[in-house]
Amino acid sequence: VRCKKLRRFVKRFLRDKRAITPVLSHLLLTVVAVAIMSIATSATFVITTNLRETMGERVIVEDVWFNSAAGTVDVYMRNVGKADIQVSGVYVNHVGQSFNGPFHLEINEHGWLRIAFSWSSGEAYYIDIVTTRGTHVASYYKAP
Amino acid sequence: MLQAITRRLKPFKRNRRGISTVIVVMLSLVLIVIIVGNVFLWSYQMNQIDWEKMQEKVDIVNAQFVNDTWAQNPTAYALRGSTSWVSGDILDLAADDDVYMTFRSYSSGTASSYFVDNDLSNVDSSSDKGTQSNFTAQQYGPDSIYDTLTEENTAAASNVTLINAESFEGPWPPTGWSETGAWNRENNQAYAGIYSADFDGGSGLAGVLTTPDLDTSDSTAIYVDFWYRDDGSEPGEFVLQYYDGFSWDTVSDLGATLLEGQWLHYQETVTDSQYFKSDFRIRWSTNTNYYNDVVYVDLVTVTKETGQTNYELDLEAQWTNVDYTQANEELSIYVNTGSNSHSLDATGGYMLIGDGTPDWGSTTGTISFWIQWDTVANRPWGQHDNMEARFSGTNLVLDWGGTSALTSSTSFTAGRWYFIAIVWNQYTDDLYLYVGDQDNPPSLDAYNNAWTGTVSTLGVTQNNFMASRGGLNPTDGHGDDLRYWDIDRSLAEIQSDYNVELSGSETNLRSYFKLNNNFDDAGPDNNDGSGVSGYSFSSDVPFGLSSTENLRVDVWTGAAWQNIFTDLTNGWNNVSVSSYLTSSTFTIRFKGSAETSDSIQDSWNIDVALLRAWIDEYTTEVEFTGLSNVEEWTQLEWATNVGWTTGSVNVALQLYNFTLDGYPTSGNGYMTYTSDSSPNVDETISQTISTNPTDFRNATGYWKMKIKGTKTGTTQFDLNADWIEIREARLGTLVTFENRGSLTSHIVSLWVNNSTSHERYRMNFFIAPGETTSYFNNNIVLPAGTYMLKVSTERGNTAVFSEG
Repeated sequence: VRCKKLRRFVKRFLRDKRAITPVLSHLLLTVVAVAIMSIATSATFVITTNLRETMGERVIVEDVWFNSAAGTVDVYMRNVGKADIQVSGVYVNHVGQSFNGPFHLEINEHGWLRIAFSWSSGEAYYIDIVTTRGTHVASYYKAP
Repeated sequence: MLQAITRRLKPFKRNRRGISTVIVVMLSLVLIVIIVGNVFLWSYQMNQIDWEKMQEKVDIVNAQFVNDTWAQNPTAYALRGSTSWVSGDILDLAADDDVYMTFRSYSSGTASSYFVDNDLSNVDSSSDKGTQSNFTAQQYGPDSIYDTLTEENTAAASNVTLINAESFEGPWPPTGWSETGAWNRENNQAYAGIYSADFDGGSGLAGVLTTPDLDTSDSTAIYVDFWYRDDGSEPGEFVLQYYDGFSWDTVSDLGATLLEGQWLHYQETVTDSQYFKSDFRIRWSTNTNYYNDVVYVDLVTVTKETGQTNYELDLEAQWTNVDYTQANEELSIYVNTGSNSHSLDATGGYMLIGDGTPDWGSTTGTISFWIQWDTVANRPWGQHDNMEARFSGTNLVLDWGGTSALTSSTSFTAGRWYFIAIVWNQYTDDLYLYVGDQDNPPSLDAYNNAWTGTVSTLGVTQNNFMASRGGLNPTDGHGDDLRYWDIDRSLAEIQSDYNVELSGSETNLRSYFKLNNNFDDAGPDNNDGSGVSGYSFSSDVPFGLSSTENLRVDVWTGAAWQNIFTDLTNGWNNVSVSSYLTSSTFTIRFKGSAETSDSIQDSWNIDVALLRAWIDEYTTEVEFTGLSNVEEWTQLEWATNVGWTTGSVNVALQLYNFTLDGYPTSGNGYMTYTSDSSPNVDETISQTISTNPTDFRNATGYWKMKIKGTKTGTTQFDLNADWIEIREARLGTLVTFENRGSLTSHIVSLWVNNSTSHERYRMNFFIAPGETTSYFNNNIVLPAGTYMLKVSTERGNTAVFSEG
């Protein structure tokens, strides 16, 4: 039966009196459609990857040391998430501060983030650390 | 429902807008599904992590500084090397109280032995004098295999004419000569002069022409020279005979010559010592049966080579690769000077082996003995009528598992020492007879390689020596050195010891009778024998009589010989040669002590010649063990307080490292020092180990240590151990955690903070839900004053503990 159908299709195709233009137009449309979908697929991959990394970002602060000797606030951070992180900004009481950047932590990596901030003993500070993907690690810490 | 879907698809099927629309729609749907699916899964995963973090709860229950110490003393000891315990108890090591445990040192010097290398040297450009039987024997042992050094006669020989060209020209018979029968002087035939001695034959006529007694006892050779003529005698009718002091031996059948009717020249040099007697004689013996069996003898000259006897020994031996750098160097020579003092002299009597019942009929065996017959006859040994030796004429016949199993080819004569060895093997059907004598080593005399006899099942009638089974046919003469082995010895084995006395403990030697004035059996069978009727012990022995002359040993100094032994004695002879051993080559010579006018040929048996080099040193070595514990030590201190009864002992202290499975030779667990130069000074030595101290105990807490003291010299010394202790310590922080959550927590870090420092310690352990556990870390030092401990889990939770 399939063989008959195929022969009928070929026969009809060969007897088609219409010109080549419609065929070409179909082909071109198909190519354009495939290209568009490829771009869409790539975009989807990029978007989903970023989305996954953003969702998988987890950073904790193990320790905060108001280091009187160095005159800094040292924050010991550990990456407990599923993606590498990079600190893009540090805010103390909502004011951006300089730090030992670029500060990058791979998965399960840990280390000191040293914030150049002149703190005062007994004061409480709201320290907000922001990653490049926008994750905030923020809390109040009181200087000893 | 199905119809509704079909209806919906029909317009789609009829749609003319093409496949591109379909692709776009389908792929869009797929992408949407992927994006949504992933977002959902990731969200779930991260929520799970966040949820677990929320569920986790770990607390620090307590934190405290730990300072635990333990100390132990040894509970047992083991002596190493040949160290010996002298006094004291292991409990005496518990305190430094001058109550000691004492151990005695042993000689630990390392020695090297160098057997002599060769006998080829000639450092003094003087040729060797004397002979060696088996130099190789000096290079092994002592093993009772000897190199026999025998003196050589170095004096020039001189000839003495005993009968000077006797041509029978004078009165008949010549002075001192004797004749019987038809011997006479006639002038019908003569080789020299007018007359000759002749014998006119005839039926049944016999006679002998005999020379005077010729004293050849001091001879080294006899030259016999005469002319004879056989005018018709047959073989055996005209023979030449020599007298050996006991009997006449036929030495030549002159009648057997085919050159009849002419003068023939007979010349012989006699070197067989049996004819070196004071009454040596020569005779021509005739026994004719026909009238024309006429023989003549003329121009008889007999000369002996004698006189100038001077036996000397001068044999070099050399070492070529000796360590000459040692403090002590000694030449050692093992000698068997010979102790064969007696033989059994049987005169109608014989010897009973044991009580007569010892059965020497093993499946393989060797019976050997020395014997000198007074008369060649009767039976020298036997235990059964099918296991005995007997004579047939002058040939020895072995009835061995049957009658006449083997007959000697040697025709034995009286007055001469013979060595006889009978060897049999029932498995291989071999029966051997080896014969030697006082001048010649044993050799194969007769052999039956198809011997089918059996002696192992015969049993014993009576085991006798110098007679057979029950004293049958005792033979008169001397017997010596009777041996029975339960193996078939090879000729080489027999030759190696046939002329030396054995100890009796040689392998496979069962019975051994030295017959040195007794019938003791020196072998393991211990079948001491006894004598029956006429016998005595005689000092006439075939070998091994102790030399009367001293054997000296000289060492070559490079320019001359220096004497180091004036007389080698039986056994080991040792002498220091440190002052002479100045290079790797060392040469000695064996020298007879009497080197002029020495008329006695001596010989000496050298078993071993070797050089020994060593260092004098004494060592004490004791290993102590004790039991500690299996706590987490952070530090180990081990200490000893010991003294030595001599000064300046080199001491090594070692604590066993169970991880390395050995005593360290450097670093932790190893201490060395030289003790005080004065004796009996107690010194405390200790070492503190902070790195891996637990390596120095086993899984159950046992430790062991070794004290070794060494000192070069000849002074033996003692170790006085007063106090030995191992002290362990555990210093650090013990933090107790409690997991109050529902999940197992992984602790990854611990913070110790105060105002001046924030210290992070890496941790790696798990706490099950509900568990309380302690964590000890000797690196954590809690600060004084106020501090805070903070622990962090892998999920990112923290717990805090404050103090002060």
